[in-house]
Amino acid sequence: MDKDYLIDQYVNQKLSEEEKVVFHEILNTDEDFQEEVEMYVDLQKVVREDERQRLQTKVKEWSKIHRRRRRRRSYIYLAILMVASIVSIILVLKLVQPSDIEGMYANYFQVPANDYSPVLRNSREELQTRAFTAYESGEYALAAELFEQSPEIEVNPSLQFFYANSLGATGQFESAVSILEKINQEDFRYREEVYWYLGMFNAKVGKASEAIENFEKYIEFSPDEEKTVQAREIINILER
Amino acid sequence: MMLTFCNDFDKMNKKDLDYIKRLERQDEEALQELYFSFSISFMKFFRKYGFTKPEREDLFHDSLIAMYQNIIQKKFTNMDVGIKAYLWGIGKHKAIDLLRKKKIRSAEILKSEDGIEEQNGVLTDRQKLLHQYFSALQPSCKKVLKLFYYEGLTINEIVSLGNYKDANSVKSTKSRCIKNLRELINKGRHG
Repeated sequence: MDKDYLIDQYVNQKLSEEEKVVFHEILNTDEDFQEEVEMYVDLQKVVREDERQRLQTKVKEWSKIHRRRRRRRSYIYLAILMVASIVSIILVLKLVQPSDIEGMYANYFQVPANDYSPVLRNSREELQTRAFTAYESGEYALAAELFEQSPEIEVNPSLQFFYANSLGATGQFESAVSILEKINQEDFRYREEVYWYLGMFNAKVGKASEAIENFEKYIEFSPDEEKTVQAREIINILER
Repeated sequence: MMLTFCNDFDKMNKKDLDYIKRLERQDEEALQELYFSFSISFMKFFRKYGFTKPEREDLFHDSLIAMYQNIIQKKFTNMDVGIKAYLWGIGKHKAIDLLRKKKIRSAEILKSEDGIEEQNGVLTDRQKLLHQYFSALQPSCKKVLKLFYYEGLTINEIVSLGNYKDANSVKSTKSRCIKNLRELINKGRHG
């Protein structure tokens, strides 16, 4: 039997039972054969080690790639976290904004004092007197109702002004704005005050840009320096 | 310290069989996929035995390579266990060696009877010398010797790979390469 064949079969663990008998017979009697076998066994180990070293290099490369991928993934998570934080901050600011407006409204809003005060004796005038009485005593819902019933309301912008403010004082801002918008072109006693209250009510319903425009108009027309300064402060708050 | 081993791994499934086939064909992309799939869980699993991160990383690399080499050399025969269980098994054996090296008394550590063959990269001085000569061979020689003594292929199997004309061509290439290797060894002995 070919010795080389036997050695190959041996190192690859493929010897048949019959071949094993022959192989061990030769191995026990032939020193050269023993050396040959040792050389091939060593060779097999060496080839495996050579391959192992090649794979080690490759696997170390994969390790670097893996680490880079994980790092990249961490950066992506970090970026997502940052975006989420920014969005949260923006949302919080958005939520905070109304409370800024609430604060502004609380600080700056005051129903206009009744310096109109008509004192008339007939029934029509009585209705107005009752309306202003209610207005002055802070019963704005009643005042609004009485102003609305006044026959003069359609032709008297001053009455409409107080009617709108009565509505505003009871939280009916949209209605108040629509009445004030109807009279803001009129040249009458409370012309510049109309802009102030339009600004206030628009701010209350979240129409910041309209409110800013109203306060700018107020600054343009109002001779009241103190309130003009306040109007600028309000604009600053609304611009935030 | 008792090194326990999880038995709750999946049995060999279709995916595992597919991987085995790919690894047998020496598809190193499959090996890379397994690297990425198992790296984190393997490292986590062996953390509880007190190994450092670099030790665990080496353990993983050595185990993965040993698994791959065993599959190529058809030493992975227990088809009852999945790839993960097999890899973890090799890892356990290597961990035992590492613990022993670290002088940790681990006499009670049980080597399971799963028949996992270990072949570490520890060469004797003579083998190291032989490795030097082997490294000096032509790539074609290294390749044919690798086919014979690493993959354990027969002459006919090597012919069927398509790189050689016939069995005689394989035989003569192999003889020439062994002759070259012997010459290098003799030169080393006398020079």
